[in-house]
Amino acid sequence: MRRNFSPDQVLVDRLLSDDTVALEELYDRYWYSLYSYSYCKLGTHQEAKFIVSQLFVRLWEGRHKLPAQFSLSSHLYAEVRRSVVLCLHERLNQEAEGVGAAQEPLPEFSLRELNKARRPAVPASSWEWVSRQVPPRPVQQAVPRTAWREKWQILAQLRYLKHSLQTVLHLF
Amino acid sequence: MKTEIYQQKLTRYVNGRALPAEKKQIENWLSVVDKSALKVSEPEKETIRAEILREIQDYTAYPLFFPRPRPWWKRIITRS
Repeated sequence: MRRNFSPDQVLVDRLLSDDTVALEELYDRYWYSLYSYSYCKLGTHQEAKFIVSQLFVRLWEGRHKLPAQFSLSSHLYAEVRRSVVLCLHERLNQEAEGVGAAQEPLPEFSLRELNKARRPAVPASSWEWVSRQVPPRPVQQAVPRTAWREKWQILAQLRYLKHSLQTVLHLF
Repeated sequence: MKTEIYQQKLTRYVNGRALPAEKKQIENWLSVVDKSALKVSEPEKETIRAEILREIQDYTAYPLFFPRPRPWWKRIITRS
């Protein structure tokens, strides 16, 4: 097979002039990663093949509507994720209507696997670093309202300096 | 998890009404890829590649509407 080392953007531009060689080159670059992703998520070859073929059919049919700064790889990966979700949704709808017999729609889409997939936004080591950087919050002392005190006594308890309040607030 | 729960979650996600936690859960699931799930040999890979490409060609009929130009050496062979 003859390889073409043109960047994706050049091949996408060539699609606009109905270049089928460019389409096949893009297909050769991306089909396997899209196919393996779909297969890993859905577990069937038929659905994975259908998703990949539809992605490239849509790319070919919409080639004249592609935006100027078009990133093909991010477009394809976003589309394959969307297609996987829609396919799974369709499958679940069929099962809910009683078309399918399997109770577990997809072994990987179980609570255990989802819990494994869940991860904190910031890694644990970063949390430790953040907690070390932030000083502990000072505990404020409550002054009981019932106990009558002079203003300066209350302020002394709150660790304010008497002269600073004298100058600013003219309390005394 | 039961099928109904999956279905409700995915329906909300597809319609854009999923809760943030549900959205995150589904997107995390989509992000995790187990590469070991798919094991295909090179000949099988080539067969699958050709099948999908044929399917694309059947859908779009691009070989019919936009046939490839024949290479120069083939044209010479035909003339002689």
